Amino acid sequence: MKISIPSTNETFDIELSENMLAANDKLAAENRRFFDSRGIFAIDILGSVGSGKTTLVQQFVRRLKDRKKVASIAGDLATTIDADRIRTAGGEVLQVNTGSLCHLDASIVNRAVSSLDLDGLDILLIENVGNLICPGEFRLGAHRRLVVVSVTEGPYMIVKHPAVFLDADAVAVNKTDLAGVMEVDPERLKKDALALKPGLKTALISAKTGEGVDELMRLMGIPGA
Amino acid sequence: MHEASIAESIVRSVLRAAAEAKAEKVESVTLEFGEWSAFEPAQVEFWLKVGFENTPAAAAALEIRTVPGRIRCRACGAEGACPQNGSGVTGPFVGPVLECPSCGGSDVEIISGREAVVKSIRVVK
Repeated sequence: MKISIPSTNETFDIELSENMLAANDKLAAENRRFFDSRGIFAIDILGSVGSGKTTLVQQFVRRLKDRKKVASIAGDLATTIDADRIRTAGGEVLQVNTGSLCHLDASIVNRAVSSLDLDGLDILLIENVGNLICPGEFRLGAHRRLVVVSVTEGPYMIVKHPAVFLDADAVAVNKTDLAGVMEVDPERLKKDALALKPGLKTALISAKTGEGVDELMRLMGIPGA
Repeated sequence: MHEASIAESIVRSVLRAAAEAKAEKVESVTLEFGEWSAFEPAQVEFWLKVGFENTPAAAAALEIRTVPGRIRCRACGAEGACPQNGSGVTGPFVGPVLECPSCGGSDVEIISGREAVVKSIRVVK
């Protein structure tokens, strides 16, 4: 903190330059170091309620569980629906209820991880709270950030949420099996994502049928994919 | 609602600095938000007013500045503003394209534009 020369006898300008996101970013970096030290590959999964995050996590778990030890953290305001569903696919699952908080942050993940069985853990899937605005600002320390959008949410999900894609590594355009009835072009959603960030990995998938999921996992560089 | 949590951090930071300076009241607070941050200034302002109620900063004037977004290319090293999507190309989308303004490469990192910073405060002793 720097106190400058008073502009009058009584008034002072105090230079702070304090980053309000620094505390979270610092903890996120700590989480990353912790994951790296244990050889854990962590993925932060974002998407609106109903975009298909949980179904996709189930697909990831089913595909990986014979080769890798997988655990999941399910973030949700109030229910255990997500954790209960993921549990049917296998692996350890921890439900985190955030109450009124619209996003997970690095400290929540930090606490959640400490209550998981980390012995030999290879992959940690972190399903964020269902919305595409707030979680964008709060990095968790994961190695990949995946955003899930589905054709059932309409044609504008990507162009209306540009900020969340800035930090994303991959985008899954989901529910392609319903694209015809929804009259939404999945290729258009993919194009929107690439128009914002040409370096994104993109895949057209159906988390329900499993189509495109293997390709998505390869593109994301998930170990064991 | 994430504006409420950022406002809470700002209130804490401002009041701590004012107390350390033994200030009687805070006259103004200057904040900087990146143009790509997902914090809506009007919402932050609302929550700050709530947070500053009954504190030495209750009457503080708020100045919120926008920090322009800039990127650095990992391939050619160029730094600068992003090219912008115009309307028409991708439907209603107007905004930055995260690609190098110089070589067109897509391996770029964001060097500014995501800030949420308490820049300075003016206090009266």
